[in-house]
Formats: sequence, structure tokens, C-alpha cells
Amino acid sequence: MINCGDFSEHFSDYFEGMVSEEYKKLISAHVAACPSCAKFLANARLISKSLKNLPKIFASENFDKALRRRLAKEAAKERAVGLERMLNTLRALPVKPMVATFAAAAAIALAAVVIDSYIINTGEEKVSYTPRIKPPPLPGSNRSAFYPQSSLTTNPMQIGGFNLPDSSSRFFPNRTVESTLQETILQSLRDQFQPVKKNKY
Amino acid sequence: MSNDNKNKSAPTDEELIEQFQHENLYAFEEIVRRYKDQLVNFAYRFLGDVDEAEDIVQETFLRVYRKKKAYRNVAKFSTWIYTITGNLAKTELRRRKRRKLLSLSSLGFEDKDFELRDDKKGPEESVDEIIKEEIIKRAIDSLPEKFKEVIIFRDILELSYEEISSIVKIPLGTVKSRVNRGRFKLQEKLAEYLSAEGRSASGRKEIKE
Repeated sequence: MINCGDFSEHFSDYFEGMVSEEYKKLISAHVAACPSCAKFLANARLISKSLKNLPKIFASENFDKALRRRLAKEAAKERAVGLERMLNTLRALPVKPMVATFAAAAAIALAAVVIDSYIINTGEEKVSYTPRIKPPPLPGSNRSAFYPQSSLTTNPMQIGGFNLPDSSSRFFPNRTVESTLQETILQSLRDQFQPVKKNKY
Repeated sequence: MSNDNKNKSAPTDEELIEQFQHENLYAFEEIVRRYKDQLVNFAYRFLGDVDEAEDIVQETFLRVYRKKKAYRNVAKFSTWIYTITGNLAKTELRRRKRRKLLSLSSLGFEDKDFELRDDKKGPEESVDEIIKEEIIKRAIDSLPEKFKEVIIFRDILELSYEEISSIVKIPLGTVKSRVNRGRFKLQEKLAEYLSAEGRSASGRKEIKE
């Protein structure tokens, strides 16, 4: 025989149809004989239905714009860390090769800062004026129509047979330029410091 | 466009995060597009405030951006991202409690009348009725955090017990018993409302945490 305690313990299994046929019959028999458990079951059905009928809440229209701003700040922070790392590398170098390379590296770093500021400013402007773009249906949609800045036709990235343009996106409209610039600076530094051996000095 | 493209299937979430780990920002953008609404919905049900919910979800995407390399393809991406949002939402709830912004009296049911009920149907028409959103929302808000979390996942978002177990990081058996107890708790919270409607299930209050 099933009592109210058993019903309580196995209620969810019973409610979701996850008990054996035999046990289900036993619980059903108890419910039929117990007004309290019957009432509880009826209420549970009502609550469950009400929960499933709750309206879905969607992200606001400003969500993408606000996220782009926060990502731009994040990217700027990354750039600052990258430049700091470069300067630390320069500081750690022995004096003689440093004299030979410092001017070039400093010039590149300075150029990076200037161009970077330009990029950040341009990016912010784009944040302000880029209208919210309704995302395309998936799959097989023509994304290039929604992402005019993309390089879909020249540099497609295949993911599971789905075209995703490489690298730049509307969240990071200038990321390609920026990455290229950073890569150039880093490569330049690598080239400069490659032949230097600390133990010689 | 060739027919080939039309037949191609969309990338999975796991493929997208892998591409993002290789610096493809379009993959990140696609992740945002796929998840922003469902995460906002989840966070809203957890926090009860849409602005806070959006803020939490934006922070979630920032963390995905920062910690993309931390994702390992051993768990579903959805599990990973829901865990991040869930943890942020829980932290926010605790912060609220610390600041005593959440007044129990303002959420309690003692002084509430239930005039928000939107239907005038008799008990015989109860099959088609539902409890008004505001009343359900208050009841969910007043649940202890650990029950609220699993009830949202199971009864609102309809995730499987296995998924909930992965997200909340508790054993499957614990998830099941917590959902069961959460349902009793929720019915307790709604007791006054249900009683006013002649639906009270007295005698069930022995189900304690």
C-alpha cells in the first residue's frame, strides 16, 4: 500500500511518468482514495501549466549595442596589456642591442598607440550609428547581405558546411586591422631581437 | 547562391566556440545571437529584473570572450554558458541579500490580496486556467535559491535532469530530489492563493526542507 509519505517522495517521478506501470497504478489508487494528495496533484498540474505558459523574455534592442561597448573596452584593455608587455620586453634587454633597436621599436609602438586611438574612436562611432541588424535565419542564409563589412566572398570559413567569414565582425569592426598591426609590431620585435644572445654581454 | 549552401547544416555550438578559439569573431557573434534571448529569459526568471538580467548576460558573453580557451569540448557548450550565467545570477542574488535590498515582507504573501487573478471562471472550468504571471513570479522569487534554480531549469526552461546536473554541478539524484522538494515548496508558497481559490492541499506541509 502507498501512503502519503510515499506519494510525496515519489511525486515528481509519478508526475513526469517516470515510474513503472505497476507503481503508477499503486499511486493512482492512493490518489483516488486520498483527497489531500488528489488536491496536491491537481494543484501541481495547474502550477506546472502556469510555469510553462510564462511569457518568454527577450534581450532588448539595445543589447547588442551595449555589448559592443563593453567588448570594445575589453579589447582596449587587451591592447594596453599587450603594449605594456612589449615595453617590459624592451626594458629587459641588454643595453647595446637596445640602443640599436630601441628607436625602431619605440617608433612602431608610438605608431601603434596613435593608430590604435584612431581605431578605438572610429569603433565607438560605429557603435553609435550602426543600426540593429536583424540576424538572418539559419541555415543556408546569405549572411553577406546582413554583414556588409564581411569578407565572405574572398575569405570564407567553413564550419560544419556553414559559411562564416573569417575574423572581423560587427562586434569588432576593426579587429582585422588591429590584429594585423599588432602582429606586425610583434614580428618586428622578434626580428630585431632574434640574433641577440644575452650571455655575450 | 548555389543549392549546396541551402543544404548545408548550421554549425553546432561546439564548432562555433572552437572557431572562436581560433579568433573567428563571427563565430562569437553567432554564439551571442543564439544565446542572448534564452539567457536573458533564464536570468530574468532568476533575478526578477530585466535590466539586471541583461547585465548578467552581457557579463556572461564578456567572460566567454575572455575565457574562450577555458572551454573544453568535453561538455556541451550550452551547459558551460548556462553555468556562467547561473553563477553570476546567484552572485547577484547574494549581493542583494547582503545589501538587504530584498525585503522579505515585500515579497511575502501575508499581506497580498490576489486580485491580480485574471479569470472569473468557476472551479469547473479549472482545466484551462493558469495562475497569473505576477503571482507565479512572486512565488518563484521567494523560493530558496537552490530550489528556485532547479525549478527554473526544469519547469520553465524544461531542461533534462542530466543537463541540470551538469550545469548546477550536483549529482543527478540530488537534482531529482531537489526538484521534487522545490515543487512542494512552490505549492506552499502559493498555498494562500490556492486556498482562496478553494484549492488548498492541506496536510502537505509536512514536506520541509
